[in-house]
Amino acid sequence: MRVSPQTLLEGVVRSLHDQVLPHLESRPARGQLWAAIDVLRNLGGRIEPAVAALEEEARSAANALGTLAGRLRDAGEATFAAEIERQLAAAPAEPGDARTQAMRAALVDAFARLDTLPAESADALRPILGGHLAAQAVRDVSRLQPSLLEEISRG
Amino acid sequence: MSDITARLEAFLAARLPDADAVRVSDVEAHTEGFSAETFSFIAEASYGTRAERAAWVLKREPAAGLLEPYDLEPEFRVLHALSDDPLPSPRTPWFEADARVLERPFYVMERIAGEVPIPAPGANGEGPFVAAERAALAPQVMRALAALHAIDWRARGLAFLGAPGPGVEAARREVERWAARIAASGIALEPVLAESLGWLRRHEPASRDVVLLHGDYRLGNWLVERAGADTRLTGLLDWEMVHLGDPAEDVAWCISHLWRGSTPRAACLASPEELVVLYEAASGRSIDRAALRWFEVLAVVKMAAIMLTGIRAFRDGRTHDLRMAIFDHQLPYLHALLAALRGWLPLP
Repeated sequence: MRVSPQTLLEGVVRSLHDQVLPHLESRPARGQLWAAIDVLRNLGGRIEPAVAALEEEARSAANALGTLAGRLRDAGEATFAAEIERQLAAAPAEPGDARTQAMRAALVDAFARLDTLPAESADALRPILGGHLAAQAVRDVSRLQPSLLEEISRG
Repeated sequence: MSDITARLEAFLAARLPDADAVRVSDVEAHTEGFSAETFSFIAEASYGTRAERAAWVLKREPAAGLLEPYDLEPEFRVLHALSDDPLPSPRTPWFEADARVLERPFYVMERIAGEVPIPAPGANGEGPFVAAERAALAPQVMRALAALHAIDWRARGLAFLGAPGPGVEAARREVERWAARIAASGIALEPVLAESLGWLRRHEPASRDVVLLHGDYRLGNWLVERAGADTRLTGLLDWEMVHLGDPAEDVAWCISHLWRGSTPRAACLASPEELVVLYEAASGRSIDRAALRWFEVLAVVKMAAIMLTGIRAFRDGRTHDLRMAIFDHQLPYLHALLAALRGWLPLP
């Protein structure tokens, strides 16, 4: 998550207040909009992070990284394997955003280190992490509502 | 900026010194674009008993946005240089850098007739065009792209855009340009983006030609007049990413999955291969398919970089445009597309 729900809600409130309300002339519609703004202003504190989704991602990433570390050790790349294991051990144990961010950073680092291996070895190992990328992409997209981009683009 | 009409009249009066008076009307802000601010207006200049009425479009640097930091001057210089070219680019006579005139730099271009179809499935899932429109437009858009790439940019004084050197420099410059934008967003690098950037860096293609690239040549930036089999491409818009580089870059951006509107057709017009073949026929240049695949991956990375820039601007409160915030939930689609282009998932 790149923008917190609280920041998104603040943006919606600001947009409704500054850009929609001044153009609304119907009194009942203005009343409804003021009420919507009031609801949104008080909603931020009641939203909890989607810990289950974050943990699912972290678990998948940890599995992929653990498998990669094992294969690296088998291939004689003990230093690389040890670094992955260090990062896995150092990641926050508590499920949540911090743990998932740590896993993502470890994946980014692992891809960079794979690029330093001989091409043939790296090409054989990348699919271990690629499998996680694919599964995570599918999970992320499946949680989204169908986009209203067509209507948004038309204004 | 309630006095924009008066300010525009003063600006135009200075640019049209032979006119006795200049009257501006019908000023309208447009919301279609996600980047530079766009206004349309009518200007009527009187010369004695004669009056000239013309429709104009003004593009102004936004306070914040998807391509920040902004500099409209290169885009203006290109459009100005192409003003008399048969390419359907708008005649663009004026640029104003002085922020005292309209708060931020802007340029003024002729308003071209036509509508801007967008890459969306539409009510029947067929996209924005019917079959006759597709058949008419597909060759025109690829011919226009070939014509753009055929422009002698040195002779037109466009070397200021910075030509990449031979070999892989054009490809490398683009990867590093967009990697730098991703880094500048300050948002943690997603693993799928990191993997894609690594692949791009390991497989940079060598360029045979350096041409003038639009940089955002795609459905959504084309003005079209619909008339069945006589449908015409009337204008090419949004030149903010104009630069010099490999022609395959524009072709790949044009045929990218990003603009297919959930149809099986590139640019909602024809199969990707058909469009590439049309381009090859119009340009007399063959496009290396491996290089094309490379630029298709780059296209998605580039789009992710643009979205991350918008997300950061929204997160920092530098823009209140909620359309920037929606990129936060659009990015997963790009990640899935990247995973597919890289072979980790089946392509849609």
